[in-house]
Amino acid sequence: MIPQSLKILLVEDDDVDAEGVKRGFAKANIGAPIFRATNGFQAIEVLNDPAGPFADAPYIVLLDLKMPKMNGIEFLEAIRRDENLRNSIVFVLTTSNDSQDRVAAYANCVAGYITKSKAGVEFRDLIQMLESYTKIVELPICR
Amino acid sequence: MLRLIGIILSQIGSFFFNLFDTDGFPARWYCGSAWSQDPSIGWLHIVSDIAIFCAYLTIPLILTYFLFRRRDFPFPTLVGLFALFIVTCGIGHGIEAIIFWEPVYRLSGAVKALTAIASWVTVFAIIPVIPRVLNLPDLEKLKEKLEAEIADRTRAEVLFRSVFSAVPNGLVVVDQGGRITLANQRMMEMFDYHVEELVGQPIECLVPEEMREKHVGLREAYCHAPIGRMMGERQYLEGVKKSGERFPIEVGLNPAEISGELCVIASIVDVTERKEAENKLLRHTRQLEKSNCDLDEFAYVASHDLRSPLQGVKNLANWIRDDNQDKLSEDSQRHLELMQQRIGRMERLLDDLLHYSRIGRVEQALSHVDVSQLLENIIDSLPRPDGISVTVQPEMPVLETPIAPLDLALRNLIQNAIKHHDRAEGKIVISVSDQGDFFHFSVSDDGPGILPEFHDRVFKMFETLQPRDDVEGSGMGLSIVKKSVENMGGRIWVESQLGQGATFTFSWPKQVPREEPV
Repeated sequence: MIPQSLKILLVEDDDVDAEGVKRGFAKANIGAPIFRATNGFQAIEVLNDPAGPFADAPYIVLLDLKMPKMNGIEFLEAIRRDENLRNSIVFVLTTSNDSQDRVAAYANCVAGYITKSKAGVEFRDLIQMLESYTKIVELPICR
Repeated sequence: MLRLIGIILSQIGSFFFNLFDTDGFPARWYCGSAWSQDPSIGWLHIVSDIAIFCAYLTIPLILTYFLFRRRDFPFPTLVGLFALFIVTCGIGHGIEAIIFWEPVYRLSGAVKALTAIASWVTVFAIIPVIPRVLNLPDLEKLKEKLEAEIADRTRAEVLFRSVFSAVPNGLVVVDQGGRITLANQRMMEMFDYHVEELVGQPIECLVPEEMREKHVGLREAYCHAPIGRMMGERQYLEGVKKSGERFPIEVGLNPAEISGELCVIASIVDVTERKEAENKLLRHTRQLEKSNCDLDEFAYVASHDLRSPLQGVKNLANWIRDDNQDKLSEDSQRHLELMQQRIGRMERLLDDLLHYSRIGRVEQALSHVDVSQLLENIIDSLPRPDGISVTVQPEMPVLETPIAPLDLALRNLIQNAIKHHDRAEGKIVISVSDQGDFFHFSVSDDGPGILPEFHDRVFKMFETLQPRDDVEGSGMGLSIVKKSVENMGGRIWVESQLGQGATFTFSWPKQVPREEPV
């Protein structure tokens, strides 16, 4: 079980892909609320909003790489420079298995780089991994 | 003994002392009455002796003059001795004439002794010289030899002139001072000059103005290290015509020593056409590179940008089906199924397209391939109905080749044979034959066969001979095989008649061509 107090931010520009993740979580009966941003800018805005859902709460970011305005790697570089957000736990969730993307993501301290093709049918493997991860890992609270 | 020598010396001394003494000897006119009875005989002697005396004194003069003029004449000593001998002979004859009045017999004897000595010395001097004289070339032969030599030289000269004017290159001979001493016809045509305008001019008149000063330096440097080589290798060289028009050239330099002076023979080729062709080739290569690049980009677009919306459509179709299991009409469910089938087809098409575009652009490493082992793996991995048997004939080779394209070719052909078989029972046979530089691999089936008029079409992209709904396929399998095989320098063809099965054969090189795949 992913604890109710944990918030998940899905940064994904494709509606169908976002819908897929949400359906997967709903099917697995994950109670944790999923919020969505469609690009890096929006994600930083939401994370930094003092009145928003991420204020003083543990959260995990699921990040797509190919996005308009601010792509995944740019988002990672931005939050690692940001005093408040630098400790964020981020998993990259993308279709790209490009080695350059992988290197750039890990250089910006991601918790894991996951390609969608390996996330299991309806993201079951991803959800299982997140369940175990949140069960045993102490998460930081940013800001 | 001493007395004897003393007597001899005093005898010789008295001989020379009384050399001109005539006492006791009668003049010849008075030696017998015959001389005075017929004085004409005496005069015959006298006149002849004097004539001989004169002639014998003249000959050495001529000989001396000759020796003086022809210092190169061999055996000058011998000629000198000969002259001396003749002189003494002449003097002897002169004295013979005088004796008719003055009987100087002692002088006459002394001169005769001198003549004897001179003639014997000459004899001994001649003997060792004879072999050398015999070796002296015969004048006739010398003349013949000389004529032959002249003919040779004339021939060489004619040959040189014809070659010089016939070569398709411009040829120009330049002396150490940089002046043109000789130039051929092609040179005149190339640079638009007349012979008289060019010969005597500095070679720099053919060099672009901004290069002239530098050329003088380079030319002088060349004379210090004269070797046959190309001028300004890898540099773009230009020549200047009389009109000032410039054109690209290539220049070969060769040193030559003519009459002791270092000259440079320059061979000049007008490379305008070649440069144009090169530029054209370069342009085409760039275009080709660009279109290859575009193809790369297209492959990426096909693999990613086209695939991800397709994935979305696929997901949405699944969700509609899952969420409305009970509500959908039978027709709608069937339509959804068809939709998913088409999506699958599109995915395969994208995969194959990507695959096709990558053939030959990824360099393949050579590996040690045991073809029978490879075939075993392929056959094991391909699903097939129980009734279809696949047989590999013996004597499959082992070779050094990139494994991926060979695997791809064999796999696709066997898969096609299985997929397109029209009966439950069937036989597929894989065989090989050694054809020199190539192996010919064949995949034969006893399936439906292909009409001869379709033989070319089966290798084209997106061509299928059966509706896709009957036999699933992107229509790219054989074009992928064809491209793989041709990329390796091989060929592929099919032999088949309708209803008699089909045999696909491709040739595969034993030695992989070394050059980069195109």
